[in-house]
Amino acid sequence: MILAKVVGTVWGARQAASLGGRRIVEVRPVVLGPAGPVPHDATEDRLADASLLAVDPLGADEGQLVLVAIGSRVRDLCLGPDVTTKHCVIAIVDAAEVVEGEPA
Amino acid sequence: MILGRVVGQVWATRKNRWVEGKKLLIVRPLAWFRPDHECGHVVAVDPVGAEVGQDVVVCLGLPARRALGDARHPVEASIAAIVDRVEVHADAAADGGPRFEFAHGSEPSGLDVRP
Amino acid sequence: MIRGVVLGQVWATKRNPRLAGKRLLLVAEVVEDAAGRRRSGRVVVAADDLDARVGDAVVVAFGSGARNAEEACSRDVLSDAAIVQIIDSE
Repeated sequence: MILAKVVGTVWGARQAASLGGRRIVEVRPVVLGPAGPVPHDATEDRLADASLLAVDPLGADEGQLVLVAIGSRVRDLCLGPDVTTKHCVIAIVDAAEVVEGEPA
Repeated sequence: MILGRVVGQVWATRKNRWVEGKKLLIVRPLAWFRPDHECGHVVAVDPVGAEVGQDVVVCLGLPARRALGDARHPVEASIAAIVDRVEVHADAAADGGPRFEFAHGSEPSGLDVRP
Repeated sequence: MIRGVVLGQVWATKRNPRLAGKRLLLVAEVVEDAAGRRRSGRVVVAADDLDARVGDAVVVAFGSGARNAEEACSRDVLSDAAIVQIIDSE
């Protein structure tokens, strides 16, 4: 799993049937940074450049930190084998703390 | 499996029911590791009892789920072992390439580099 | 599967019981491109039942492929990577 921040929701009326109307969120992975709590208002420098899209069965809001699990088996288990994604939100994060920061 | 250092912890109330009550640790890989996205960490479920600062072996994929006692856990990383010592023979790769070295700050605890 | 070279060994007393007794080796991936063969920088921990030694060129299998290396990685063993062959020559 990776820690990521929800940066938006992807809406679209025309959706593959296999997605079954599920909500898709755009997230950006959090980079570790210095020791301390991972801020919920993590800004640019704490987010990876590339964003990714994940199916969100939990209803995370924009700006929230989430845990994204990756892989086809995770998809099978969370959503069902027919859903066309490999990324799934499995938890909405209350708090995350980095105790030991990146080496200098 | 990969070598990593436990650098933090994650708490979540709202989560997939299979992840309820599980300890979630933030692990920084000690040697190059490429998940789908380059963010320098992986969050792993910890059934072993690792603590922040310890170096661990992280198992990925199906075995990671089995380690939790049921392959239906929707996770793909779990702590398999806590590392006591790592022995590396720096010139092991006699392929004319550079000597193998862990990056600065990423040397595992108990690292024993043999000539 | 990847081609790799054994760099060293990892010792861990406290481990998941399903990994008990397994020898864990540190393996650097070796890739081949136009410039020749080189280490990619990726380092993995793999279970070993073949008694690979430091410096050996090996083949490492991952996931379900590793699981099929019955000894190192049967369904009951908690491992996602196993040394499945020691390369003698190619």
